[in-house]
Amino acid sequence: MSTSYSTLTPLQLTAGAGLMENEGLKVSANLILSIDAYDVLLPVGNVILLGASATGNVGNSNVHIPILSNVTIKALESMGANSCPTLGDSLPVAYANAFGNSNVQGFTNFLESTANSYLPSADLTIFAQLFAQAQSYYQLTNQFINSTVNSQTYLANTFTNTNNMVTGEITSVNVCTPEFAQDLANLGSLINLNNLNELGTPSALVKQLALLGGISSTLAITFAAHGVNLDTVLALNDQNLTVSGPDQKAMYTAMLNITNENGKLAEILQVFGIRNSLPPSVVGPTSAYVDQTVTIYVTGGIPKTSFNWISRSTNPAGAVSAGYTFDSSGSCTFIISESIAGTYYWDWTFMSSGFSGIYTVDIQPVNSLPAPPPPPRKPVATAGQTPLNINSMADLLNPYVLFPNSFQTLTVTDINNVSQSIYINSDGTVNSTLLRVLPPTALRSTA
Amino acid sequence: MTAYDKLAQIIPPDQALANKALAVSLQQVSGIARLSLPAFANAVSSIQTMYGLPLVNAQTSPISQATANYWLSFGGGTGNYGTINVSDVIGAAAGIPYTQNFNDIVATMSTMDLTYLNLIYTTMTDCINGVYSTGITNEVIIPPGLPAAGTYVSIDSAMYTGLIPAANTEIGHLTVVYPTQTAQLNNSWVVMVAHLENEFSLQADSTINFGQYVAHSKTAMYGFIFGLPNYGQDTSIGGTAQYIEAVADTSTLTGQAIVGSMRQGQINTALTASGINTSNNPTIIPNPKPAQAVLTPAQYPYPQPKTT
Repeated sequence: MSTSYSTLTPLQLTAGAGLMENEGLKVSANLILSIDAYDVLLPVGNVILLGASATGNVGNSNVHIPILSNVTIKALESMGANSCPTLGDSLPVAYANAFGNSNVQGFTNFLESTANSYLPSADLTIFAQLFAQAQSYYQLTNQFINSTVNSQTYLANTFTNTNNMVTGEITSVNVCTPEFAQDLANLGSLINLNNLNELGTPSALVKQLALLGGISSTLAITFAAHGVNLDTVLALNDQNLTVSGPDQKAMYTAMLNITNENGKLAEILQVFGIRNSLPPSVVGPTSAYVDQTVTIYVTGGIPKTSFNWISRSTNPAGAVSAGYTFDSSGSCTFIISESIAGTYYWDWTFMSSGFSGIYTVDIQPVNSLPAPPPPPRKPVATAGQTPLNINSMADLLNPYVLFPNSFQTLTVTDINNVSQSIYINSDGTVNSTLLRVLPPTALRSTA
Repeated sequence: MTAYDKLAQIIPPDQALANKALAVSLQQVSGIARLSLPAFANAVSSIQTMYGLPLVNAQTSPISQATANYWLSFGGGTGNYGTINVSDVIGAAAGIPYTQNFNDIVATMSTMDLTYLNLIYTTMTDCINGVYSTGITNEVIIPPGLPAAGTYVSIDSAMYTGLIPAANTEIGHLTVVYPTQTAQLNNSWVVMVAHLENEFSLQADSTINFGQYVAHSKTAMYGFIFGLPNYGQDTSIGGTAQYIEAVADTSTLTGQAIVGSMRQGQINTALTASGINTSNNPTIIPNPKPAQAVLTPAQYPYPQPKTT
């Protein structure tokens, strides 16, 4: 059992014991002393109090009436008000009605009685309530004021719009966040966000691949074959590797030649975890006639990667295994036709992603009833979702290819705090204005 | 950094430009360097935007000047931008800022000859106390040599037509003789009157109503006691530490313990920051442990062996 400690300390307990008995707090002694010093020099406050309270008898009766009329008391309370109220203990003319209906009777008297009303010696809990309420109010108010003041300064001159402010500037990159998110998700771990200064360089791509453990001998050989310096090739796994301009150029040339046709691209896409925007699925009819053409659609694969397809039938019993490759959009369509009636099960597994499932179709004798329902249509991506179409490793350096769903709304805030489109049309034409308005350090090595 | 000029020699120039723009843009996202791409994708997919709120998104600054002015008008305190402290709301009891102003006033008045004005006020006191009443009806005779000497039908008349005008005349005379001093007096006096007026105004804003307070509220005082260490941490001018120190009656153990509790708040902050533990806080575990009540059984009974 852990020990729980009180938030009360011995000092607080000592203070509290007195406070509960109305001890320990009183109107500032220094204030009283200073008022007394004033009264000694000029006892006008005492005169006013005396005048306001003095009474006399009416004739021989015991009825007491004020000695001074209200008009006289008012005149007494406003001595020097329009010249030097200090010398008359009065309210300056401009403040004659400052305290509403309060019976002021000399400013010093009023101040002292006000202080005593805050800290009534007979019940300090009144002060505790007053203090708490005052504190609550000013703390809340100050939050509004300080937040307001800071709101005007904390972003300095970097404020662009409310969207960017509330989204942590994500909308300054792309205002169409669902499409942008989809593209980002499809890219797996392609981009190292801690190395954005090198975005677009072949060496940054290779370093990220190395970070994911994806440097293969095939890749190294390809680089070497296209003129990359052998020292560089041997150090591809080194995160501190500095690659010269000519070597990077040679790397890029090599990347243009790393395609699926020669079988090298699929492995790289798989390491990065690049995937299609369609969910993994196998769609086909649930039943068909013998010898009828059956179209089956497989979607959601990593482009250019392969998957297993194991077919098992119950009549006749048997199994056939085959490998297929997704196209550049991560889909695969194939057509079958079974000549023997029976139930066919296809266990499918995407080697690249590990997704798996079973597709079942009943092959029935021709013209048997009930007739097979109409076959399903080919799955299509949700509107606005264009599958990746990566044909070479060099495409991984091309934002236009990497962001097929969101490239048209990719933007950058320029040096004038203006949002600029990176692409100016649906053909992927890059905005040449950027050559003038990007930060100089991004444009020129010598900046 | 590989700038555009270098990158454009490696990959196609348009791709190089797009990459540099994208990098610059992504780097504006706060904290992005700490994220993996999947984590960033997840964040992007989760956010909402100001879509469909054109007036909000048309703002050219985090808040408009009109909005700023609106909130700043809520101040009225003596702090920066009108921020408020406890002395602004209930400063009178602590003498903040009054004590200093009174001290200044007394110092200034000490350089002035106030003898005659004092004589007027003394005469007023005597008059009200009946010293000059003749006993004939309400008649009052202020003797020659004293301010406003003469015969009056009543004390009220002597005050209203004689002594009060005499005081006003003398005060006016003093402003002519001592223009600098009286100007200083007026400045200090107005500061106090204005501050007290502002206290009342802020109390109204705070909806403070003395009539609604509960007499002898123990819970209110508990709260005050609990808060002492925290009050000690507000050491700003007019803040809670200065205020409580001013009203603490340090001639008593209680008053000194109040101040000590506030200092303890600051000490704790300093020690906590340096990792040093204090022995300030006792445990709240009851000692001795309270006797435990016998409650209904809460476990299933194990079957008893059959007895024969």
